[in-house]
Amino acid sequence: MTSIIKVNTYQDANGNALFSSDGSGNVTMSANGAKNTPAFSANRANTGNTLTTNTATKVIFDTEYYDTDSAYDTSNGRFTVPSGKAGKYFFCATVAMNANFAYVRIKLRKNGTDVFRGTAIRVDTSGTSVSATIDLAVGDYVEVYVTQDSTNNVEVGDASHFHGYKLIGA
Amino acid sequence: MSILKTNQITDLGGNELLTSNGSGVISSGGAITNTPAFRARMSGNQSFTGNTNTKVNFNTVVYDTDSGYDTSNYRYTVPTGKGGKYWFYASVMCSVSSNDHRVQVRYYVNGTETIMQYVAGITGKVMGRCDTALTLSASDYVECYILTDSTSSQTVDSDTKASYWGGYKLIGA
Repeated sequence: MTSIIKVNTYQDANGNALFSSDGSGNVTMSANGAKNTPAFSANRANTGNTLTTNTATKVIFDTEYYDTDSAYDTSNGRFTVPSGKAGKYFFCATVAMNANFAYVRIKLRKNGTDVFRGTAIRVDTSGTSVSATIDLAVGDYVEVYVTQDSTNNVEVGDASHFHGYKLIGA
Repeated sequence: MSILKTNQITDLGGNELLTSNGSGVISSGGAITNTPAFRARMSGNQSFTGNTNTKVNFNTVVYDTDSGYDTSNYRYTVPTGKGGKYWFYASVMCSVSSNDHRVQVRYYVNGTETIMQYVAGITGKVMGRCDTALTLSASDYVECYILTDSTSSQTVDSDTKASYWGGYKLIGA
């Protein structure tokens, strides 16, 4: 037995949009909880983010590619979970810098506390990365910090990125 | 224009496909969630022989939505009906005994090496990573291995901030 209902727009009983088709089978999700949002992507486009030797320093990704819920703040480098958007988020960060033979740690911090980190030995301008899922409540914030042990302070390069998005139903 | 208003959609078998809370917020729907999803960590350091492929003993589950991860053999197995593309991420921190020795993190699918990433290391602790999407069928299993160039005995550090493995299913990919 097969049953088919043909309709282009689904709404809940109160008229809130859930999803719709454009009539050609292309679906646009409208409902909260059915999209990988909030989602953001930013990079460090400008100079001036100096990493002091042997000091955990926040990387402020100052230019957004996108930010669906205005949750990432380019002034302080924080992603903050908006109201009604708690859940598991996937984050990925890469920080590039020129520091020959430096030991570099990149850290994801939740509310000021390290939760995950990546390390690398830097011999050129390649990136050091970290990625993981983090359980977040409304108002929690995530930042990226880097510690490097070269003999000189170094600049964060423009091949540095910070991305994140909410997982659905996880 | 055609509009259907309902708070819940099920299939003919009564299986829930999508539910709204009446305020436009979808609370469930198996086909449109990033599940199965899991993350695992280690409860203690793991010694292993250098220059030998070694399965990383992620023996503690942090979360596992569909009970796909087995802490006895450190395998993630795709549950019935959950085939598709999965995103996996792993971070493994271990000691490196000599300069320029690589640390490789590898994913094995059904016992066969499928993809790897490596980093160069110098003496000290180095973190290997592997981030990738894998196309998997139900009952396929994935394991995470580590390999170092160094031939001496090595240790994976169980620091939960540094050594972990997780994954989740992509939607419709």
